[in-house]
Amino acid sequence: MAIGSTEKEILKVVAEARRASKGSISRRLRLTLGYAEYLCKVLVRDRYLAESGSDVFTLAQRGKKVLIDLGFASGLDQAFVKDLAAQVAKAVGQELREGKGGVVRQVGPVKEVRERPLVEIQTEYLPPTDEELAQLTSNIGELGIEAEEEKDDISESVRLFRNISKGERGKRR
Amino acid sequence: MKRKIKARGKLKIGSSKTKGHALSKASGPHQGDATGKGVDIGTAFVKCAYNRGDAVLYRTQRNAFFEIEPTDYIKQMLNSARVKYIQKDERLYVVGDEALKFANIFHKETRRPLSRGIISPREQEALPMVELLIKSVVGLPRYSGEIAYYSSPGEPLDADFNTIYHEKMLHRFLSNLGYTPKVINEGHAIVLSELADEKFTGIGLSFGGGMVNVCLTLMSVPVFHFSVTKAGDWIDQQAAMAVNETASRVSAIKEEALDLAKRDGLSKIESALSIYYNHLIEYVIENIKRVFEETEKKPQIDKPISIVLSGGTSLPKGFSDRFREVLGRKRFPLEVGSVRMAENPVRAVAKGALIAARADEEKR
Repeated sequence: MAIGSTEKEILKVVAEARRASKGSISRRLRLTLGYAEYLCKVLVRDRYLAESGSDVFTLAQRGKKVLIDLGFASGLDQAFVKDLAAQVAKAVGQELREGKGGVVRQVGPVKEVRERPLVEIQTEYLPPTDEELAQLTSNIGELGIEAEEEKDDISESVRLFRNISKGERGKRR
Repeated sequence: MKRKIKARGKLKIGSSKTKGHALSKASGPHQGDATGKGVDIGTAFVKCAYNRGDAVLYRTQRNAFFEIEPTDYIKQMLNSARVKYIQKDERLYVVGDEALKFANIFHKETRRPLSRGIISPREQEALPMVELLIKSVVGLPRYSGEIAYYSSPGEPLDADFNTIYHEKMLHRFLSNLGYTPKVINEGHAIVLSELADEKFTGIGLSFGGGMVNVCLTLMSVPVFHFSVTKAGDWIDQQAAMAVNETASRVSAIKEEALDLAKRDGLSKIESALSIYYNHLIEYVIENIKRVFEETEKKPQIDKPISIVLSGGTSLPKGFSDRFREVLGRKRFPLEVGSVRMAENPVRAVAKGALIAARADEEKR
């Protein structure tokens, strides 16, 4: 299955963190939790990611290959790149031995690759804070916040602003 | 005339019996007061302005946290020393001015949930704390749907981000409280606050912690507004690097003792700060020139305009003289009549937002 840009971003996030939860992926990419979970499940199903524990993901072999193809290895630490290179070399060697790749590969008729329809994602996602807010404890309420009072009659400014705005709108009409 | 009022008990958060928060209406304005609130959400401070009788009341909280060891003993100590804190899971954060003091004691930096003038999408962990701070400062509306104008920076000229996320989050925080939120550009709010006598025509400049905001307004209508992301924090960081100090310490010296009119006998930190203030002012003026020159429909302004300076970074003595001095060396495309400080540089944005809110309320 071809892989979309959001899925590639998920792979990058997991690669950077080594292990990433669906929550951290959703926060990092500003996806809804549900959508992040759905994409991760698809990536696990297609063997780009592996599930390591409950809702925690690591890169699978296929995901690592995608990142190498994207040239993303430069953003990763050296030990990880070495490990990745070794694993990819091993996999390529295996494929060659099995006659799947390289010069001995049989090329079938060219299939028309259909452009994947763009997935509409909610770009205006705002993370929910209500639950977390309810978990906070604080003494701010008990200590209070000082209010400083300033004798300053702003009524004249308010009246002038209202009149000028009205006049400007009238002129524009 | 200024008077301090202690508004207590209006925000109850996470007592042993009830977690969560509850706000009472008693803390805020009285019945019969003009309605509408002005909220200034800055990188460094959250402020709210509202009317009580013919006075304007301002409530302020510094937007900074400092993490400390979360033990019951420490919490008791903080309570008895009247130091504000927020506990989130196993983490304890000192909030407000005290966060800065703690940071200086431990020679570390405070955590700032807003950077470069906006709520950062990367600071999602701190979002509930920002929401809590805003709630504690703004309080409840006097009636459901009261108008609250909140300030937002202009689109930055020198950074690749926009203010949409920031505005939407603030919109939601205020809506959750029961307000009808409306947004006003920071520079525009300054013009509304300070330039009534000039029919709201001039340039409002807010030198904040994370940004400098600029708005040219003609007869109360913004001609252009923008922001630049070099501001007070940039000065602190650059000066700190130059003298090998922490930015928090440099910031404390800047806020407490810097005098830009002083030419001799400057300490290393003061010298560095003075140099970076010059850089910042030049940078802002050059950007105003550039934007004005790029403006397609240039306004016809028949008399010299005023420039109003405000924001925490404009507070050091001698700032307006320094600004005039640098402006005098530049070829500015508009004739400038006066350059002056806002009547109260740290409250001008909240006051301007309040003027807009009251004008809208009176239209209802």
